[in-house]
Amino acid sequence: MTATPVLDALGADSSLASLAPRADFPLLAAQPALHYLDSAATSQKPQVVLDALTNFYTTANANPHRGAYALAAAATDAYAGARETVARFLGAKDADTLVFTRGTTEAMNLVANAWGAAHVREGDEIVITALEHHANFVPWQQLAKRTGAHLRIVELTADQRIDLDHLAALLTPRTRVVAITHVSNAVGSITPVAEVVRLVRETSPAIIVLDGAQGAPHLPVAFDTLGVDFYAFSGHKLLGPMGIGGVLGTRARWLECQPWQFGGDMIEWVNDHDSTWNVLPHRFEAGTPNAADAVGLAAAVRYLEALDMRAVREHELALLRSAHEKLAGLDGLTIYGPPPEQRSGVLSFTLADVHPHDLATILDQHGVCIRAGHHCAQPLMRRLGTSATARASFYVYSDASDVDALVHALVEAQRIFASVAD
Amino acid sequence: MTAPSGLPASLSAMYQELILQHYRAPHGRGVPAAPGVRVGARKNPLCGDAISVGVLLDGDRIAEVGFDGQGCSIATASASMLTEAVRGRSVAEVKAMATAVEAMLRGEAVEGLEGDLRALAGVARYPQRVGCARMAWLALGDALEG
Repeated sequence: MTATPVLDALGADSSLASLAPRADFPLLAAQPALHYLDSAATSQKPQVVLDALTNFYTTANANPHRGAYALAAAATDAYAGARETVARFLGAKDADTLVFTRGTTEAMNLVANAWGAAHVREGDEIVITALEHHANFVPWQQLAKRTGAHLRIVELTADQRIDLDHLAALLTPRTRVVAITHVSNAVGSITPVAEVVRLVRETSPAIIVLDGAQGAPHLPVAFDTLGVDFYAFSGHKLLGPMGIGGVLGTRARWLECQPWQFGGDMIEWVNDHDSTWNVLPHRFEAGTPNAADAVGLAAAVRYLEALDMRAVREHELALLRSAHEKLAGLDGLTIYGPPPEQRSGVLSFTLADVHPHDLATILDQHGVCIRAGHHCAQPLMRRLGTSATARASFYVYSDASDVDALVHALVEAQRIFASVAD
Repeated sequence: MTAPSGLPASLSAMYQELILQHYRAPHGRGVPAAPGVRVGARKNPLCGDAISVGVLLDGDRIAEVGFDGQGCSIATASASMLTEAVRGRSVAEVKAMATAVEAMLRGEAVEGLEGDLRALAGVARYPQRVGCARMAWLALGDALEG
């Protein structure tokens, strides 16, 4: 594969090595020609995570919290240890305020049901933004419909950041919930959380719910100092297994919640006609917990801690700057979102009259995996005036060769579509 | 059946010049505005694309047909080709044609399909894109049933 003149002109930057060795990731090691640029959808998994899963099932597999035998105690300890590890990673001292869920989507549904349904009344207001992933949009939209509350949507600046002036204008004493993304999955914008917290606390009694699905994997998070009420995240986007994630909450807010799923583990005592509830965090974890994936997630966050989340952020920013500069040099290419410094490692773009779906197919032929579509953010797409964008996203195993492969394949896509004259 | 040079065979089989021409300058753009027009619409929830097809029947024949919406090259070219292929045909002929197109998109060898439509055969190699080509035909089916 020879470099095109366009690539030569832009200059191949080989100085950006991956932060984590690709050899640590069995899928990437087995496919050296693959350029996986869809980590915002899900991350690849290091061997240590797969080993942790196998180790749980081969040495500690039993139903946690249920057996009097030593093996059940080992499973209980492994699960509790995973909770301690993940809570520490996210900067929460009180590990019992971390409730494990299947991921961010379930976490948001939990908060909307467990806290929202108990506290949001007709005429109250729920504030979300036009930047939200459907997982932090639809649960609140539907809660508003069910309760008769008003849904308020914060609009965006011209470069797809949350318009803080508009947020301030929407907040009232009737605002009960402000649910905002920490980092936009579609365009990467990073929310200035401290500013949002200040605005909300000044004018309303609302709880603040942060969607950390794209925050926790890419930025250092210190829950105890963020000043928000709930913080939801997904394990599979931060090197962990699919099917595990969670939500941190302040103890005070958790105690205001009603149980939302009923069954084993979450009860204290079941009488014929009423029941009492277990303590945190079990009250919100009905049924057999996903202990194995929690243990896998703990291995993932230990791996990230060893890399250092500040280094992760710096690495992604360097890749983003490089990619931003190279893509901006291509004819007809539009990049959405704020400047690199105000976004995570996500590059959302369209290329003149080449539909993102066509881009994804052509790039795939070059071993470049990107996402094409609405990114589960149709309200945002409507505001961008498009049905879809192409999105490349970086992570700890990404390097300069991934950026160069992306640019090369985009030039190729341009060539295909330019081959037919108007 | 020419395609840009230097591409993998399967890719050039999908992105034929004919497909790209229909994408660049689609035929049958615009659902007819006449009274009695039947419209069917389909969306692709995966990518957010949407195509609607409108037909005006004269007895058993499709007197006028057009499409609206936004789609990728495959979705747009398929809709454009559809309008060319079905105009003036009987409903029974069009339903048989839709069945043949569906079979072609599944990778089956089909006979009886004429003209530009045959260019869609290359899409069968890309299962993620078959839904794009299918959208206009499903919308047409809805319009005829509706």
